[in-house]
Amino acid sequence: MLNNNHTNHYETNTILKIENVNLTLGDNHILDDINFEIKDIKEDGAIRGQIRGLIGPSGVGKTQLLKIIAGLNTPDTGSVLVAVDDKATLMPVKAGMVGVVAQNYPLFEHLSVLDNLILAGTASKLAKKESKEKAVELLNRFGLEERASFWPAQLSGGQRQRIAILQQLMVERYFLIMDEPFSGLDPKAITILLDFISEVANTNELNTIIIISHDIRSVVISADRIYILGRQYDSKGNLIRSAHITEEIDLLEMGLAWQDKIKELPRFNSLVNEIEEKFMRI
Amino acid sequence: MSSKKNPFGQIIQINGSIPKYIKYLLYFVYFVIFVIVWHLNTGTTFRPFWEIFQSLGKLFFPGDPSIRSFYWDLIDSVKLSVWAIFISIIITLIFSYLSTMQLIRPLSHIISKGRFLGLLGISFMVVTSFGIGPKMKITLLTFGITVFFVTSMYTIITEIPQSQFDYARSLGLSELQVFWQVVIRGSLDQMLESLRQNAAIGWMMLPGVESAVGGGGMGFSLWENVKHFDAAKVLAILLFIILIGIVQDIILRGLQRLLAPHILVKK
Repeated sequence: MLNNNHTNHYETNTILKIENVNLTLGDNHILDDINFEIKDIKEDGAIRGQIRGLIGPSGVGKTQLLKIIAGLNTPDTGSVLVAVDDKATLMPVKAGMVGVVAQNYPLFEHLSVLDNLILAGTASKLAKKESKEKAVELLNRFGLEERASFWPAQLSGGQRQRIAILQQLMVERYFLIMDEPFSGLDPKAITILLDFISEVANTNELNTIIIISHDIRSVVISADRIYILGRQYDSKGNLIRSAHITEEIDLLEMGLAWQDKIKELPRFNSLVNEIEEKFMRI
Repeated sequence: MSSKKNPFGQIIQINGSIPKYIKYLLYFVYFVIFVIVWHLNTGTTFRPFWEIFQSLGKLFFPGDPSIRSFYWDLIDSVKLSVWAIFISIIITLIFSYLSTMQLIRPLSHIISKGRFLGLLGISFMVVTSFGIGPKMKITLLTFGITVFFVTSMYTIITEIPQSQFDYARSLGLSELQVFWQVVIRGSLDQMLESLRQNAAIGWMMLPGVESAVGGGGMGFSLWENVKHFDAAKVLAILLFIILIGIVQDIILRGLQRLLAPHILVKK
């Protein structure tokens, strides 16, 4: 039984499906039969996007999986299907269907903040005027309007990260992958970012943010479900199986998702500890 | 307790920070030292300043209608330099931008190795192909600039991180837009910086090319005066070569700031 106020939620259509994904680079088998799917979670009376956490130790293959989910790299076998409309019609992923905010928050350095956003909008087939209107609206909505005329080099790390996310939001699509978004941020900046991610996710029912990180605490705070990517070793430490989804943790069912005061819940700390211990074995 | 930095103490600090007036003062001090050293060593090579300026007047206004004014040599050299830079830009940009395709990459690499051929080596090929004449000057100078320009541009283009291309593609940009935003516009500031450096190399080569081929130009005039051991005129021409080189650099720097204003923020 759920111990939170969000009891009236239910899963509907599959909006992202990863089937039998394998990847080998040179002689190294990196990803071994990755399978998972993301369903649209609905809550009566609220717009609820999905926030998923993909955690795993450094070097396990998270970034390779990111590239495959984003259509930037092709797996040896398997497929990635993503929803392309409000009816959740699934199509094979192509570059541009899934947004990516990389760890270094790239922006076009030769364009102002506003022009960075406009470019992303026009790439998404918006007319330049519409794109500009949308860009200004987003900047206003997230309190960054004063930065519109700045060059990316003039932004602080936090501002740059938020602009990089807004740039991805300029493109009409539902999926955004964030690679190590909490890396190098102080606790206050992490709190601001967590609120920002939640606000962005909840702007559309199908919006789905996948956070790739090894900051377990922050992922547990923000996500509604977590996938653990890890390898399997025998008792002598020999690799038995390359990176695969070792476990799926449904935070919603555990009463840990969508909680304002999650850190005060005893289950939160014990879950973080459990995951940390699992990290040692994968 | 507060301590104020002594600006004069900062001039010998590693990575010290000094106000502008001290910076200009340093330039002035070095200039004065240069003038004193020159004056103290006046002789066969270091001619007095008044004699150099007098020679400059004679070069521009020879007084004899049968003697060509240095003005025309100046025009010839600038024209030659501008043409060589223009052709080099076209050749370099075609090969370096197309280096993003693996098909073209070996070609750019081979062209960049031409810098080890040397002007004498290429002169032989140019003479046998075109004979001695205006075409030889433009070909030699263009070659001299291009091989270095291609080398630096090849490095700039091939070192664009894969993550930049991934980022642009993740936004849904078409391949043409990716090429425009990541390769061309994204490297424009570095391209202009490289152009500045290579145009300077070209300007440095120009007197050598003109003196070797003949047929006018500042380098030719310089060589004529070297042969006659007219040190004052040689120094006057060298003064002009340096000044025009500096003007060329200022123009290209201005172009860089105009076309890639974001570099001003970085600095």
